[in-house]
Amino acid sequence: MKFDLTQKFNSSAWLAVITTLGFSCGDPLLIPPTSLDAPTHFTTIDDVCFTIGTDNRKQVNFEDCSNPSLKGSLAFILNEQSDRVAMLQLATYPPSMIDIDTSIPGTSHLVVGRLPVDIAIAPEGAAAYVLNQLDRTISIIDTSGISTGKFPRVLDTLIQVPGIPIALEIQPTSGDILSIYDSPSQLDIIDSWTACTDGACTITPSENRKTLSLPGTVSDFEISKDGKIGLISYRDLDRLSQITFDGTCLDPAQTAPCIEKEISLNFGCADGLDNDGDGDIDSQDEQCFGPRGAESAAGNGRLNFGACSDGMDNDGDGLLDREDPECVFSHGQTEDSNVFLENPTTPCNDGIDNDGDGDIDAAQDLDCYGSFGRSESTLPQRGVGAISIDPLGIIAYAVDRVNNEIKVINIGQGQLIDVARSTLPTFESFVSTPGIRVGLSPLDVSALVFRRVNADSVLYSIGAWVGIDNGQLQYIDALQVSCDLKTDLESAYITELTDAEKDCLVLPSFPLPDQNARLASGDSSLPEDCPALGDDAYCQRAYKNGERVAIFNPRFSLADTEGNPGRAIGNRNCEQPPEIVESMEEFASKNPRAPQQFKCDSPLMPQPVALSFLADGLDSEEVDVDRLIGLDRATILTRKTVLAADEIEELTLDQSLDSENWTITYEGVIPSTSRKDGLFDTDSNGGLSVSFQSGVNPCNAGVEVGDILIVTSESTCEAFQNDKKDFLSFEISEIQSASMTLVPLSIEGESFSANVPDRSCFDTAIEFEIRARNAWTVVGDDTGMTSKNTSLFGECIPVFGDATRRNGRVRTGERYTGPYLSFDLYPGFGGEEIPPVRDLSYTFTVDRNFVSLQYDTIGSFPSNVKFLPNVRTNSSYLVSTDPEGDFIYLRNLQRTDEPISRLR
Amino acid sequence: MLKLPSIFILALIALIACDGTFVEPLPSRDNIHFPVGLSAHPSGDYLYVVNSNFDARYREELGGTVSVIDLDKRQVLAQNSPYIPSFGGSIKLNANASRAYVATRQSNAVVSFALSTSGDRMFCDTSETGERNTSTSDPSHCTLRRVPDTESSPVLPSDPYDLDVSTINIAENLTADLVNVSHLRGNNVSSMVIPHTDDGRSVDLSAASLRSVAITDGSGSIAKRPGTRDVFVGDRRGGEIVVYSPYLAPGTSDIQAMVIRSTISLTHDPEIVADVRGMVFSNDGNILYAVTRAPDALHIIDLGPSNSDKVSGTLYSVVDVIPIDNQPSDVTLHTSSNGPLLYIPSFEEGTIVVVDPRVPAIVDRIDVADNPSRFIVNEGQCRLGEKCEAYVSFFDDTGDTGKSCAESRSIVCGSIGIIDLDPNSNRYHQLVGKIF
Repeated sequence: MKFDLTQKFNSSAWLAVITTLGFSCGDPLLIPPTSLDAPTHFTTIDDVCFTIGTDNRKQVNFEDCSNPSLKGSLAFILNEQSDRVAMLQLATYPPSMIDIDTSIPGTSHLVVGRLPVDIAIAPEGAAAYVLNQLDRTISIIDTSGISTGKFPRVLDTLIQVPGIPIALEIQPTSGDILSIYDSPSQLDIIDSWTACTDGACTITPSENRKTLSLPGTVSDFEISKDGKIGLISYRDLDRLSQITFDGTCLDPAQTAPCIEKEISLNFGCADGLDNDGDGDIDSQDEQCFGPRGAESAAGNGRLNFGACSDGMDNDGDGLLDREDPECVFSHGQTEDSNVFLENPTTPCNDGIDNDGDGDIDAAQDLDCYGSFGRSESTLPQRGVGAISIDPLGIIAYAVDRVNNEIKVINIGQGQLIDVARSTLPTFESFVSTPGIRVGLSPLDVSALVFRRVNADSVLYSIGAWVGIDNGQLQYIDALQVSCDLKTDLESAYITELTDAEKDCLVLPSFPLPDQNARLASGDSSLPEDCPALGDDAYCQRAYKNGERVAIFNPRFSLADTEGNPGRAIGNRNCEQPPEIVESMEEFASKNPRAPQQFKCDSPLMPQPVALSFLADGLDSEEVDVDRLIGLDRATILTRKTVLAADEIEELTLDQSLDSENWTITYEGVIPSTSRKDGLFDTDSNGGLSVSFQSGVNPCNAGVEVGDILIVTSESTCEAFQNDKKDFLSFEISEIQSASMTLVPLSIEGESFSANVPDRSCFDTAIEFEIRARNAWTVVGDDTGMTSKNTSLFGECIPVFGDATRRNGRVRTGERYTGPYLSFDLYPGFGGEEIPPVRDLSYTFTVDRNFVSLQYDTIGSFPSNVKFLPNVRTNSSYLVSTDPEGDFIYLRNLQRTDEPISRLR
Repeated sequence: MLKLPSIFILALIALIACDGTFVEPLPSRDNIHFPVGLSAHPSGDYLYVVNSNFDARYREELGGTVSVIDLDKRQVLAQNSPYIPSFGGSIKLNANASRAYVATRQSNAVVSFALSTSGDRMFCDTSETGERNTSTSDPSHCTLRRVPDTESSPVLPSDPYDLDVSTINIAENLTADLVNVSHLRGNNVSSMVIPHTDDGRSVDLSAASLRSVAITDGSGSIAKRPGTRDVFVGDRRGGEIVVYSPYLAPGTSDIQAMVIRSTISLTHDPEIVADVRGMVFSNDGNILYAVTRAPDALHIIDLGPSNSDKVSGTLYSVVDVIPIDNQPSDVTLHTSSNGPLLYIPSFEEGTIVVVDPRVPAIVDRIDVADNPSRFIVNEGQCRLGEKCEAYVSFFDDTGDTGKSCAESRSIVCGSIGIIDLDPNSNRYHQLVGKIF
């Protein structure tokens, strides 16, 4: 549904920006002569005053701001190929390059060192520092004179960097210069060398230098706007280092500035950190059954916790948790024997050095997750790339190119937010990574916060723009926080909070515990009227802090510009076996007032219908119903009084939907189980079993105990011949990874011999199929049928997490809630007199109706993305550099009348 | 069935091959002429340069040469340098340096030369073809077009350009050269398996096999992942790297199938078609570095495990893209006391960009002025430690004349630049000489 970032903030204009400019591919582009050469990074100084030449817009003069002609931001753009820093004025439309020497043809820029790769601005905008990778220096640009009409100039003085320069930041309160370099990986902190005022600088090389060793190869570094913390990301570690400038150090022997904490960016059993403080890291922690697990129940992971991961020897056999042979997976609920597999052979107990590192099995190889670990090999850490901290220092975002997602960090809690477990509803059992899925190969991210002022409340939209290497800029919607604050503040992009707002944005830990859990833990932030309200959703999201109640709506997904939810189309397609038509005709003949409709649009027979239709009463004569709806994702905006209804904005999980056909079939064939390669045999207990030669794992395919296996081949033996339909049927009584145990079924009182159907009685391969029994199968053409189980070491075990939506089947009269959509299986007007028959099916197409809020830069490589709020009055720009196309892209997100610019 | 033009070409080739004397003009063998492929002998003593006859000055079918250069004297050994068909591409040596394979676009051939033990001489060993002479500089005796050379055997598709050569075990005590071939035009990539004879230095062409498969839109770069038989082919017009594996019948040299493993998209903008110009693997084979034009960039591709539970599978994921100087034409990895470094010649900028892949970051830029094309490191020499050089081919360098090759019409056109790679040298990362 509609993504609404700034409603009531110049609302009509704003929505027009999103909807009109978002699709205005034909906007005229400004293509001045090229002056940029591989622009890769940029930054800005705000509130600069200009005059601009009328004949030559590149002829710009700076002036004091006592009575400014134009006031706005000044951007500095690094050009890696030409070793120059271009300047750009954003004080007016169109933005324009600034020519520092109009006597020279073309556009002249500031000359810095070789291969400038990063730039940072000193406090008060007095200087800009440029990190030159090839020269291993920092150039200083004096910008202190721009308020008195002087052009920025590059000083002769260079600061040497003792390594391969990677990133540069200036501490916004102290002015300290922080550079990160490699070989070895270190953070270098020096006092500001430069005191610049009115275009004159005093250079004082400082001996006061501090160096911090860093644990990995750095990919990015950013300091929060308030200067309280810095975050460092690594390309070879799944963690962030948080730098404090005045706090407590992780290493007690150090003093600030120092590393304050390490923030995990992966599941607890694969992040290289001791998350639960028990002294054991990842594979060495006995609660870790594999890299997708957590070290404690409170940590991030995709493996459940149970008796087998509680740190206790529950059955008294002297073997704890994962070392107990009865506990080969994490969510075993007992350590008692004879429950699941015993002693499966794995690479960590097979007596072989599987990875060739000289260590054999768990006893020697520290990469093993216990004696039943599935690999001896070292799991690589792939880290993340660019990071961005929002202007309020609440949320940080990190680009994960390997998994094509953005990882979200709750800075206050020092916590990686597992978004699949934190959205409502959750979808942790469907995804195996913790971030927000975006387009392929994200490159950069830029965070923002927007404040929308309503009559009695304020809604904060917290999100980020992401650059994708196809040239697209996509918006991710992280949180919508509604606060019961009545204020005369303006709706705006914000970079700091007023005192009145500070209690609104104290983020809790995610996922949000439900009301009962909060009550049980004595959560003092739970509003007093919970649970009397009886509103679980509100009481899960509402947090009282000081005088304010803030409602946290976790979104953590790409924003949707499409106004409609995902829906089903082609509702009238069905397959009607003759028996169902006969039943309807017979029923109608007995009930003259019943609808005389016997085709797919008949309300007489059982059928799937969208939830709302049952509420409205379907037992009407006309049926043209929606078959399903996407799952709701409610956003609670306000709660004015106990008695008033919530203002709720309903969204659907459209992003998760695929546009595909869905088929709902009564006792349908489970996908992939129509086989020609079955081998029937007696098992070790004398029972009958069937195994597959290859291809299908019945557990993962969705086969469940109680389903029916039907042999469809004709037999040459009398014992297997009968005219009764489904004569050769078996009930499935047990499921392993490639075989099943069967019990012959009696059909209409007749049963075939329990002999093994083998080649002696079937002169061709034995063909069979498996059908759900007394249930409807729900199958997507691409999605397939969702299985609530998964196979591990040959056993069929429940998948991780909330399994209520791990569902590929529904019974007549019940509600289906699957991964992305839901419906009611309406029994039909005829009720029990028109029961469903096998292969009665409905097929319809689901239209995703999801269009990501995104803009095309018409480039291919947005290397540096920044959202620049309030560069001038009513103007906030989304900007990206494209070193391949040699341009900088600028889109004013607050002005519908301003075409995009691609300046070269 | 052979069509008429094919018959004509074959007849022409046969005529030339049967004639004992060459018809002028043959290229001069004592100088460089539009150099393309480079390779160094593992002893570090000799460099091999494929001269391409790019201006078509000489006979098409014998217009190129492979210059054997004595690196001590920095001198082309003319008498030891064989002729090849025009428009040669890559040259690669097998593991024991007994053979050199050269791709030639003219004649659609791969020429399989024998090398002397010291590496000072490259020749066709005619004794392998049953003839009386033991060696010749005439490539027709060791040109591979149909493999094996029987009527029904498969033919090498058109426009072979880049090669990847390795030595593999195909049975107990039996090794073979695996020669993978990219083709600039057309859609094919090819693999040949050429078993060695007992002495390990000669080859048994009668037992060789060839198979081609159409999986690219023209490819100019091909490389086999160390420790595997997975072959990575860089697409010139499709913006992709395709991964395939030649499957050999167990215990034989017969390629029975070409198994497609994966396709790696280098960009996700359908309007941008990355042109892969060079690929090299990290020393452990877990990272692939690929340079492209459009965009001019170095792509870093993670080939580590994709399944975290079992630490298995292959990720094939582009994890980093670094903009580099215009028109990169090759990429080479060299590990010294400074750690691993990537060397990327930039044809348009006249530079060799040096990248530390661990960071990754551009750590140096070697100014070479001319248009550098291919770049190799004399690893044999570097291992010995006395000095360490790299060689770069300047495609149309005319020395100090200031003219292009087309303008000068000099028989000397193009050169080989020598780059000092000794970290202890005061000329480290400098162009220290040229061979014409």
